[in-house]
Amino acid sequence: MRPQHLVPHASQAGSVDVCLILEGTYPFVPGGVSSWVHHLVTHMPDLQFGILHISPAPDFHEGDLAYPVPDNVRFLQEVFLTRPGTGRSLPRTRVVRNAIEAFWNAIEGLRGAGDPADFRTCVESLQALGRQRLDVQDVMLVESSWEVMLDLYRDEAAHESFLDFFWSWLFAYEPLLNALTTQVPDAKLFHTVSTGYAGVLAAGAACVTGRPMILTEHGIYTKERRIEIHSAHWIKDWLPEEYQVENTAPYFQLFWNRHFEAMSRICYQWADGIYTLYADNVRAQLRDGADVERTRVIPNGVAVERLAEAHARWEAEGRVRDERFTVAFVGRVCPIKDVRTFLAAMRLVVRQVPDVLIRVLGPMEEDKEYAEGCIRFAEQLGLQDHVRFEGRISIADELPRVDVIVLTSISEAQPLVLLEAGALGIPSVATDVGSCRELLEGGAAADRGIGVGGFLTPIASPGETARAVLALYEDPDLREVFGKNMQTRVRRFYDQRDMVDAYEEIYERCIAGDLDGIASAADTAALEADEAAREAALADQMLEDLV
Amino acid sequence: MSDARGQSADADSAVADSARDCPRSSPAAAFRRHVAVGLAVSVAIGLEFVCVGLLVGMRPPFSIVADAPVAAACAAHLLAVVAALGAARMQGARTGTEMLATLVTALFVPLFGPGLGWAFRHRDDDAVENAHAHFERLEEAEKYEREILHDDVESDFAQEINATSYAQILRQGTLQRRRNLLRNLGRLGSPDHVAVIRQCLEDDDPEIRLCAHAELDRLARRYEDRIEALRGAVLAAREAGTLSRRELIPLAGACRDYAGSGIFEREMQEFWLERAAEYTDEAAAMEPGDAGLTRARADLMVLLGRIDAATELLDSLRGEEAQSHATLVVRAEIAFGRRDFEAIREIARIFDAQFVPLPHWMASLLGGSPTFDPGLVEPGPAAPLDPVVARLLAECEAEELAEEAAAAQAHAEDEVEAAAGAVHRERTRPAPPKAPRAPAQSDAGSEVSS
Repeated sequence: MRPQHLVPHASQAGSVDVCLILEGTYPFVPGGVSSWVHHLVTHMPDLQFGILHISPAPDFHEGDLAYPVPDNVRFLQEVFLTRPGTGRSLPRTRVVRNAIEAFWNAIEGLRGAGDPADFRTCVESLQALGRQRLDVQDVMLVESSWEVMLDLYRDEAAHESFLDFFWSWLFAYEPLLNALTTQVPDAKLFHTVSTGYAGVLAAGAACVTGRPMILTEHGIYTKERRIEIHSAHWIKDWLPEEYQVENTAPYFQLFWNRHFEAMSRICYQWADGIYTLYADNVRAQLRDGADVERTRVIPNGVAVERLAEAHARWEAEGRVRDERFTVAFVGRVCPIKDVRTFLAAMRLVVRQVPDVLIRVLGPMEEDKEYAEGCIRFAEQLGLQDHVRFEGRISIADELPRVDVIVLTSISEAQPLVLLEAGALGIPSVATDVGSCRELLEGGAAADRGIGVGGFLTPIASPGETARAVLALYEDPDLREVFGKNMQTRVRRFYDQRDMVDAYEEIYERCIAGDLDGIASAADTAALEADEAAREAALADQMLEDLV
Repeated sequence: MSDARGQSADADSAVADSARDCPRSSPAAAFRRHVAVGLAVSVAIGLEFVCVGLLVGMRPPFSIVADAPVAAACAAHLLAVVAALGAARMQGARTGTEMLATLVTALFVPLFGPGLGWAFRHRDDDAVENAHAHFERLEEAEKYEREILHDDVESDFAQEINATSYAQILRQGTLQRRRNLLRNLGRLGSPDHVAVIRQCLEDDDPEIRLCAHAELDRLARRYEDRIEALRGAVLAAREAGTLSRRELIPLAGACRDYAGSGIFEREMQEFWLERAAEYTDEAAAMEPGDAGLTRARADLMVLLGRIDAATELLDSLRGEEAQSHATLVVRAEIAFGRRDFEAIREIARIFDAQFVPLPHWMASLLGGSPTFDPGLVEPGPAAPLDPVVARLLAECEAEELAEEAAAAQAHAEDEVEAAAGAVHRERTRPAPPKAPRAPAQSDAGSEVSS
């Protein structure tokens, strides 16, 4: 059920201050990014928000919303990347012809270096097409598009299956077309929380309205897609006779990688401010084409006060912890979180601590097959009497019952759960990915002085994870020290108010049209120096190897 | 009324006859008619040439509809023949000769169309055929046992990477090259390849770490799916009260394979070996005294590093089973676990005396026993035998021994050749002049020196 105050289409809502352009997240899918958006919107009640949400297809997000949408969100419009056609053919008017030509020119430009002028012409013509409420899918199947596709096939993929190429081409560009023909709402600022299709739509919105556009990337979209593509079974991969290790990837992998990289490039080109959570991500953004002058790090934050209050209330209500040593995994049950390694590690813990309670706290709907596989794996490991898959829970209510938080993700940005656990003084064991090291051991010198807040482990290492958990089990004093260190760090560096203040200032300046300094180059200068030093070291290493 | 109709019909018939007869009688009209027939046939041929040529040529847009080029060619050819006959008929050809000439022309002349189309067919045709053939080979390959796949594919793979070591590629290769290597190692999937993938979990580049993880995950799921299926069979049989070794032993084997897959660290390897031991124990409890199961349990104990338990199990075997070759192999493994190389040699001697081939690892280990240095292996009390380490050790030894054997053989061949040369020289040497008989002392001296 959607709240009554929400209107389903942007055109019915009038002007808003900030239009959030989101892809596969808030308010439909629970998770770190969604929580972040929810905090942001809830903590700026004076601003009017609208949400354009990119969804794969109609009816994809069924049932209730994952978050209660606040009153200051005026509209929630879904943009579908694929949708059934109306069956009407496109009229052969000049507008249609121009739009099709502009679209393919822009695509050609983007597959190369990318020319912003082409993109502007493309977006303007497609918006004109979208206003006529025509069946844009027909664009993909008109003769001129067919010719473009054939030329591309002959140039790049003549040795590949034509049918596979055709479908890849259609599935890559039809969603882009659908995104760019979506009518841009009236907003003073566009804010996207990823590149990809949402990023392209945001760039298009900035392009046609002349309004500012900012991007916040938690995880790097292209990096995540590259990993998915590497292990995707749905991409046709005709193997050559030999098992090749050359620089070429299977063609369709390259095709999709280039497609996502091109979309990120457009978004970086048009964004007035590019924000991310920690320094390593900025490096990845710079590699993918972001402008160093427009990048800035704004760390995640948690509601320290609220969590402390909840904890106090929890204790005041006289609730008691489970007497058993309790280890929890908090997060979505999906492959990137590597829940299987967590379960394997817990199997080793159970050998030493037979009465340990293992809790898997997080939604299981995102990848049901994986979640079912995890339950089966737990049974194979003989953990059925110890482990509980509890689904989505209230962090404030459940975290105080936990002794140790374990995070076995193979990729993370800046996991909120470590901060939330830290705010409650709970030590963590986390894989050394994303900014976990920074969170548990400290980033800057002042931060490092606070001390360690948990153990770091390599990815896919049940043995190391189990050893770390057992070390914390055997030494309650260590747990306490780690917990206090984390609490101090979170209070000092990761308070949600700082994050909200930073975005509030950015929003205000963007809405007022004052874009100078919305991204500070000061903190990126150090990054550049660091990057240069790394490259020099790499060159030295290569020279040494050659010698 | 009817008369009038009859007259009118007669008149029409007369006009038609005169119209038919009239041109036949005129040479100019006959010429026009034949030109028209010729043109019609030419047009039909031309059309067919274009259609069939394009279809058989398999240019990309037509490749969708040209799944059956021969059928398409035949259909187009027949259409052209019918068109040519129709044209001839419309132009007044009636006689058998005329129709036959048209038919023959229409039947045979257009064959040039498909012929030329086939001769100049598009290159993609070959590519499509290759792709199909390759796809079939891949499908076929999936049916092979993993070992067979490893042998064939790895030799291709080694050829392709041109003797560049995995480590070199992983250290110096581009991101794409390293990702490709990981993907291929994942496909090969033997414990040795998995060990290389595992190293990449600690790579500096997060993308390489993630790719390595994805490959390990894919492999792990393959093992787990197998275990799950077998576990389901065990649970079903348990519920039905028909549980026997037939269900338990494959499950134990699957757990053991998973332990030896190299995907896990030591701790998890032990876990899966313990599961294998549990299932084997359960099967053994159902059939007490079964020597095969006792040996399997002992073997698992060796892998778990429980050497005493393994010895105890083997000691429980009686009669012929206690000295069977299979039992001796497990005893040799126990001896290896204790680093007791003399015991391994003793077992090898028994095998040798009975002309039984040694297991590969024993042959490799003891083939060069005079030079084998037990100090190479880190000694330790009842150190667990890691199957991967054991195999690698054995392979290294085998390589060294093969080199030594090759060198020895080459040396022996040289000696034989030298000896043969000497004999030949001796035979072909001219007889020395007869010398006076030497004294006995001198004879003895020459015998010694020879």
